[in-house]
Amino acid sequence: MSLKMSRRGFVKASAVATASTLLLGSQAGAAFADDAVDGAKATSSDDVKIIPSACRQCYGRCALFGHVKDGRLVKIEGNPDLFSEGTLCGRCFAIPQELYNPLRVRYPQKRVGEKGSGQWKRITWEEAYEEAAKRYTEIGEQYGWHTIAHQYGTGRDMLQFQAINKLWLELGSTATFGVGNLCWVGSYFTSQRLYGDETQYTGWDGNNTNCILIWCRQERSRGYYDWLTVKRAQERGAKVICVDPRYTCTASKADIWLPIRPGSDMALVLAFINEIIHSDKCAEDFARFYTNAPFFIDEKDANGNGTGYQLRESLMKEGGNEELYPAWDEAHDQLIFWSGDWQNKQGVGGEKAFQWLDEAGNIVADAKPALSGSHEINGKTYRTSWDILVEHVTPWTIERAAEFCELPEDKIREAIQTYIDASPHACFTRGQKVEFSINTSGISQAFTIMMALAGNFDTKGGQNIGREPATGYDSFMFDVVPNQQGRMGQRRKETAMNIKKLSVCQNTGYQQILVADDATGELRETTQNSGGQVIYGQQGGFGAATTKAMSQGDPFQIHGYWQQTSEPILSIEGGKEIIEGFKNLDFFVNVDLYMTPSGELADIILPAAHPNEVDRVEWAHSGHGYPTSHTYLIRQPFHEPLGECKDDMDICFEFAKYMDVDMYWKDKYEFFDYMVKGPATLPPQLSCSSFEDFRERISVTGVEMATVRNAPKYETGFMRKTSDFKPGFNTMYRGNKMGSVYRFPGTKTPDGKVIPAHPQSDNGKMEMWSEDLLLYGNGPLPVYIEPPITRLSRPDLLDEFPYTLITGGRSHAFFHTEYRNSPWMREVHMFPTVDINPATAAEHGIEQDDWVVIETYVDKIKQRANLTEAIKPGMIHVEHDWWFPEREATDDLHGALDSNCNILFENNGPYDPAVGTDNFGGLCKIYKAEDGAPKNICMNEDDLKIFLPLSAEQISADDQQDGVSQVTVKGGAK
Amino acid sequence: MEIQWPLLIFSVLLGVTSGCFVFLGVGELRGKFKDVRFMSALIAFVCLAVGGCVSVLHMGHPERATHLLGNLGSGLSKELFTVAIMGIVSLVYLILAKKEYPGASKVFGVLGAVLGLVLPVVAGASYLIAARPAWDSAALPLMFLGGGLAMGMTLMAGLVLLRGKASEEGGFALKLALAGVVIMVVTSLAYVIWIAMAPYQAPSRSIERLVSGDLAVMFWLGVVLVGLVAPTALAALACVKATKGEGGTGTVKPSTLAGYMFAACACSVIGAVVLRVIMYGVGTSVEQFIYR
Amino acid sequence: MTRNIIAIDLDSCIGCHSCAVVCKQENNVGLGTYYNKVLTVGPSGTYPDLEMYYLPVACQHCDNPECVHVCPTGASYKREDGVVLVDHSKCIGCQYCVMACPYGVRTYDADKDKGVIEKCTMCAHLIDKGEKPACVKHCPGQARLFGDADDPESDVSKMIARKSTHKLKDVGNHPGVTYGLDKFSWKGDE
Repeated sequence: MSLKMSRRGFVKASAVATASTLLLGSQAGAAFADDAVDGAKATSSDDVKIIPSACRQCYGRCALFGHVKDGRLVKIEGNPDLFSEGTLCGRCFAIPQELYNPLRVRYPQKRVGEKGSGQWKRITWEEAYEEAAKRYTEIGEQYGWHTIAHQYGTGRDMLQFQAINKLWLELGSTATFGVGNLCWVGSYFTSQRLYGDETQYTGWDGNNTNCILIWCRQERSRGYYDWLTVKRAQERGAKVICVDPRYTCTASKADIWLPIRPGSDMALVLAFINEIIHSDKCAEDFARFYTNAPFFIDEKDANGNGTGYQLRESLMKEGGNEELYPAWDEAHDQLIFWSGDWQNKQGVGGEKAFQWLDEAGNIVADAKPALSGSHEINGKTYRTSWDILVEHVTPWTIERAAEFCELPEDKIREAIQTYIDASPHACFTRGQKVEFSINTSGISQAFTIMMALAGNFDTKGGQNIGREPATGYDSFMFDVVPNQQGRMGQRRKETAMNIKKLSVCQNTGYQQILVADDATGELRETTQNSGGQVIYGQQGGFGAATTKAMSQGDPFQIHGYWQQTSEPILSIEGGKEIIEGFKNLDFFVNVDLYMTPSGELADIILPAAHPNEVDRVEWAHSGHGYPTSHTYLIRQPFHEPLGECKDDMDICFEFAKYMDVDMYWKDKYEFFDYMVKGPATLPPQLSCSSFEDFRERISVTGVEMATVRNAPKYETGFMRKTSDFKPGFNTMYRGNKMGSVYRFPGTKTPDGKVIPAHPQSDNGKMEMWSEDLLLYGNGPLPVYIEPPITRLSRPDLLDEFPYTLITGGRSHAFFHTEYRNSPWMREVHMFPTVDINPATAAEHGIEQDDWVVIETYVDKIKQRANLTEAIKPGMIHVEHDWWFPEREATDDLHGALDSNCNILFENNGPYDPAVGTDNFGGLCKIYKAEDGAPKNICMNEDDLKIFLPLSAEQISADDQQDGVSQVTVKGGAK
Repeated sequence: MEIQWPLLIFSVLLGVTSGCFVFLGVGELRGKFKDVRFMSALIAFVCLAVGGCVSVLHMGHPERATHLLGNLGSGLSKELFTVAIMGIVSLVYLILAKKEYPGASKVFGVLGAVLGLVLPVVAGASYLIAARPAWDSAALPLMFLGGGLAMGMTLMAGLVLLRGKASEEGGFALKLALAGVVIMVVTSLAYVIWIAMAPYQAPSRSIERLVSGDLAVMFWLGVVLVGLVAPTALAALACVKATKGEGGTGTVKPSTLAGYMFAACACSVIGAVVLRVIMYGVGTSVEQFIYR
Repeated sequence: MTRNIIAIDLDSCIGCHSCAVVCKQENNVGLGTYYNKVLTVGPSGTYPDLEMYYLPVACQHCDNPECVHVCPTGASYKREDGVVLVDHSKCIGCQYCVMACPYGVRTYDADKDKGVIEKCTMCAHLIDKGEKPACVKHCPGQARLFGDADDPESDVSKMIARKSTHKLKDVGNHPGVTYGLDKFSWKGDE
């Protein structure tokens, strides 16, 4: 290889960018581009093409080069000039094994045997599209278009999601199994509602921080380069706090490890908030001037009087203005009103918008709204939302948290003090596990309050809140642009207008939960009411609801299904019920790279191109600091897709034509062009004239606006999505950005009571006390809810199922269901592995590497025992998403049930009332599996040879006329 | 480490060769064993040749033997040289045995005996590897020598009793065999003691494995009982029986005594094999990270 | 004189196995064969008072390599820059070096029809071109370092100067790979 990439670019260039007050970010990108363009064209003597691209083997999107010889990828190498600094994890190197895997589907297939028989015949794309169009149209016309569900997983990329969604929303489909319900829905939803953007994954500024609070997140699950940021911070003296029940890699690297009791996180966050509020670091001015903390709340009294909402002038008197929010002005001892009328619809807009006004309507420029203190208006005493918050969190002392979380008090005190001491230069990042709960919205709200009140919003070393204009448009514009122009298909409109009847999404109604009483800390059974506000269509999906609709016809039967890049049987609770649901379907198209468990239940398989066979604008997901958070990079193909495989996006565009759907964009490139060009406000250096221009540049890195303006974004108007650049937040953008959330204030609660309509509040204030979450049924403040199946909530189960079961810790060898057919990654981690403390294992005669049965009251699975002190005695951790691609379709759908932890949980609620997320932990027993390992699985490195990449000759020799040839180790490796 | 069967068989057969030649060399010095020397030398030579061939099976590329002079300092090179010289000497002795060149036979017989003493020691010395503490002692090559002497000498004594001048030379042959067996007992025990006192002790190479662990059956039954006690008993019994009776001519027929000797030889072979199996078993490296 | 070594900062290592996998790509290492493996040391102690670190192991490129001493053909040799290599054209596959290695990092490769000894080469083909070994180049924790131990300005010397360092057990072979570990106690001497 002749190409030498210098290390010069990255650090130096980004230093220039951040030091400058101008938007110089693109210079960095351009500088890299020169080198890399040469690289793309460079060929060495033996004709190896070196192609700069990005990895899509997890969320990290590391920059890499593909070495391509004779049209075949022969080597992967890191690109040292971007955020991943040339580092790559093992999964990148397994890309060739994915591309040329013997189990890859390379031609469209039609099922010719029973569902699950594994019998397929090759058909043409034309035949596949025509049949799919005919069958979906029949279903749509006979049962209604809403009876077709669609689905994508965390899968191949964010832009593809947009095409899938656009296609199916336009067709009137709403139901999905989702992916957000397993990771981002809770935080996105909640932070959008609290302040208009999402912060919980993105933008922790590890480069400048004095403390990193890592909550249930592993260094080596995705985007490993984050560890470089963490360790450099540590080397600088920053403290790392890890909250995790398991002694993970992160825990071992942390300065403070809090081995928390699973599911008790809320108690700890509330203690953080409590200590922060009562410390001198509490960001009171932020609360006073940028949040709704000074607002009065129209609390319900014992007789049920009062709306429970934020007080508005309209609630104080007949004819009062609903855009005026009263507060008490400490500076002048008078009642003042905040005007949220930025649209100037209620007569207090224009200059008065986002100002404190006196009762006469004059602007009080030097108002000092009181955070604390009750006030009597018209005979009723109102408290500020601040006082209610303080009252709520004050009983959540360190002592109480210690009890709930089973942590030593001094450890908690040390952690909280470390975070507070470092604030406002302390940052927070967390993994997904905290969102696998029935209190996802609540915990996200609590984290948000914690970060905000510690003063870490948009500070150096704190949290970068909200996506920045410097990085151009985000993917959501795919659907937003046509919506803004009112271009919406008829079927979509019909579904939207009748969404209450046509959505499967649950109104959780009344559900019994265990809530901790603030005053006493005692758990008491409480009926949670959905609150009357329901999300009817949610891109993140309600797996539970869709499962019920498919398997039980509740609230209506799903008849058709389109799935791309997803495997719900493995990833969502109640896998067996999902299989039943798939068997009920009249028609099911699956688009994937391989034959999968659910694919075997489809009618047609469409072969997807591998992520490194397509063009994309790529960026890192799931929470990385600057500059990663502000970088777009190219993902371009190493070669044409194998066989007749096609880009997922292209498939959507092509099928849209068969279905007569207006995708708005001509093709993906038209959208890419639009996207990389960015909004008019984007500095020219950051704007690419076209996708081809971007391809040449390889990457574009923007700058942090807080740095550029030397002030937090909420002070300089960059948090406003309305382009009015007024200081404050934007909470109107509460509909899901992807345009599929339908909210109905004013609906009936399950008992028939009508929730009075109220004006949507978008008053520029962040809401710590959340009216929206109140309406969804979560309550306005985060409450401690004990998960439904724990030692505390289900003592009745303890006799039979004495151990706490936790699931889903990420493995560095896999990405969810992926790589089980990669010989190298399976070599790194051969078996589904259950972690158990040696003391607990000894009680059951379980030894290292024994196959064991893990059984809950729902079902049982097998995994292989790893005896480790990393887990507490009496606690069991099982890995998620295990299947065995070496097993045949007729062998339990490629072994989808033997070790799949998600069949251990049932799909019957309770759920988070707002976002419908479920619980994935419980109680179990464990014992030695007398019959050892599951049958027909790879047991050693030799067995893994069946998965070795096919040669070019082998690939061209098999045109898959009868489907994909199953490789197997049945009766010994073949 | 895993049992390297080709090497194990090689070292056992090479021991037999060595014992045979020591026996023959002593015979040459004393002017004895002429009747069996051809047969003996043939057995010794065949053992050496077969052992050498078997050990080649262990190699991936024996055809690259030309490179074998690449590092004369290595134990394996020394071993190969010794084997080669032994081969030549035994071949020459074999030829001489058919003729009547007493002087030459004596020279080559003694040379063979000296090489016979050296060969197992050199072969065993290849195992003196600091990385494998249970091997890293002079006790190991001595154990190889001891085993070889016992196997070779009991075999030879049997041969003398069966085919040679049993009445004249049988007693001396039996004494030599007994001496060989005793040396085996001493050296074998010395090696076992080394296992117990080797540096870098670890469970995988502990004496406990032999005494009461997973190797205990092999050790007590295979090594101690069959490999050491039985040959000693048989050899001692044979000596006793050979010297008792009328005129010290023995109470049993020479062929019966020969049977005792062959049984003692077989037991010694079993003992030698089992002890080597144990040797590989406890021959773990100080730290085994990737491969066992 | 140049004395190339690999140094590994265990405080930076996250046990991700990237080094083990990239090695397979770079050196075309077969399934079941490893030039390089990542072990987990611990967690030791009792929950929740624990210590754990990862220990990547491969050929230590010893100063006084036993494998070289025992090799009858000279196929195993140590270069002037310190790298210990196997010349496959001379290797007769006698496996004495496998026995002689204190760390179990050499293997007889019967798999690829080679019948020779395989082990880490410190990516000699790359370092001879002035590049770093593949595992060093791609290490996500930048824990793996390569350089001249005799040059105080090299990455390895700087790490060695900065941290408490450890070596694998030395039976006279003097292993070259140097491990840095400050956060926890080294368990390699137990």
